[in-house]
Amino acid sequence: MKRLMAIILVLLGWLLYRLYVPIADREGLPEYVRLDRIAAKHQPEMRWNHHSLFPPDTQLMVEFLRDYAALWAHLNHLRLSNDVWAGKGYYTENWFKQICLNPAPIESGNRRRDLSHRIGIENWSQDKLVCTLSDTVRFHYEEAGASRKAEALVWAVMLKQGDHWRLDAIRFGSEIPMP
Amino acid sequence: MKTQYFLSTLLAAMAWVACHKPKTGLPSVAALPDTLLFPNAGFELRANADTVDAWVSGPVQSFPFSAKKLGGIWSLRADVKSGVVEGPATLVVRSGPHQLTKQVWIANSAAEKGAVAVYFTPKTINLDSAQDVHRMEHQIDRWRNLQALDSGQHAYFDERLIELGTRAGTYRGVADRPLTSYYVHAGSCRDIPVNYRFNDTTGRVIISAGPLTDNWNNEQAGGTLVVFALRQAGKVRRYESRLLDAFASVSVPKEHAQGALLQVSVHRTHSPLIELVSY
Repeated sequence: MKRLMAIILVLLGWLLYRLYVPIADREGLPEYVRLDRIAAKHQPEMRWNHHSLFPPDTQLMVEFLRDYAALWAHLNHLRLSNDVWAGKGYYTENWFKQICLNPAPIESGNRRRDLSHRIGIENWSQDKLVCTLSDTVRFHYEEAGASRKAEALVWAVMLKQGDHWRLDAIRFGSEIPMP
Repeated sequence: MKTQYFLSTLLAAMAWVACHKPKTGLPSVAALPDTLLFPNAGFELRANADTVDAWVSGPVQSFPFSAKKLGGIWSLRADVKSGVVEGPATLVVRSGPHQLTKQVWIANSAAEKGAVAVYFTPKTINLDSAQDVHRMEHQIDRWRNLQALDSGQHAYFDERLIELGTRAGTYRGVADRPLTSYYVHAGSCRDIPVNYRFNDTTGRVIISAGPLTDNWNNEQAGGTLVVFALRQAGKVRRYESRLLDAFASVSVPKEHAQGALLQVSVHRTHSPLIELVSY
């Protein structure tokens, strides 16, 4: 009887899990409930230092770097598909409005991955809500059946709003081809 | 004989042309533009192809082009009414199974000065009892591109610390001005006295900071943020509390406090490092 109960419990757990997964993918759910499949496995190499008047707290930087890596996973996905909704939790309202002006979905086939980041924190507000940074990013592209690597300097403004650090503005510098 | 020679030459010439005719109908990469200016970015191609598709993948988004053929010339235009995030991009032009790719630059045609974003910390000087304000500044255009500042230590960012002046003294009532009054608010705190007490009954440690006063013994405003940072075995645990009657305290589990290094901070004032030990 006990064995039967255990089997029923395991089956019930499995059933609940199977029911939860599609629900967790839905739009409109709170961030802490949703599964972020795009950002889940994205772990680029990240190093950082600071040039700011106030040094960032190392404890808070762990959270910042996690969100920053997730942001790049979503930017790569956005470039590939124009899917503005997937990374909504990592965009400020102004940034989201801007990308929604060009909403046509596309299958560009142009894949980009960010392999590594060398981040320089330029400003870090004392209330830990505003961060500006420069970042030397190494990209890997797969476009038209060919792959290439390039390095570019990027400047960005990140704001802590709600659950995440969010992208508010960005500037891309020229790319240098890499071997 | 002459006719045979002419025909064979003609056939050879036709065969040569047939062999050297571009198989794709697409021109070389050199015919593609180096820069695309949005909105309404476009370019023209002289191509024999029956169908042409094109799109450009910018640093953030990809934009398809609509293609129209007039005579032997294809006119390709991005149906984008707004500006874009500027930067390096990849332009792809496809005809059937053949395609060309080129690294291009996308930018906005209408260069306009962006809005300056300024952030102050603390935001409310009176409540936060601070005599210096951290000011951060950068400039963003309508399409969320960062723009270079006219002045500043860095090209895109500027920050500075603004020291607030103080006026301190002893003021006495003036006989002919009986309604004279003064509003006094505290400046940055001078130092941070810290106390802690291990409570074996509850298994917790009470850490308190205070009384917090400025250089003229004015009590710090209630609500001022006090941060207690505990470093233990390579980990930093951060607790926050708000000031009430010049004191703030937190309750910490004993296992997080035993042997930990404590530092209490209020804005830019920090206590010395204290090792927490139970006796």
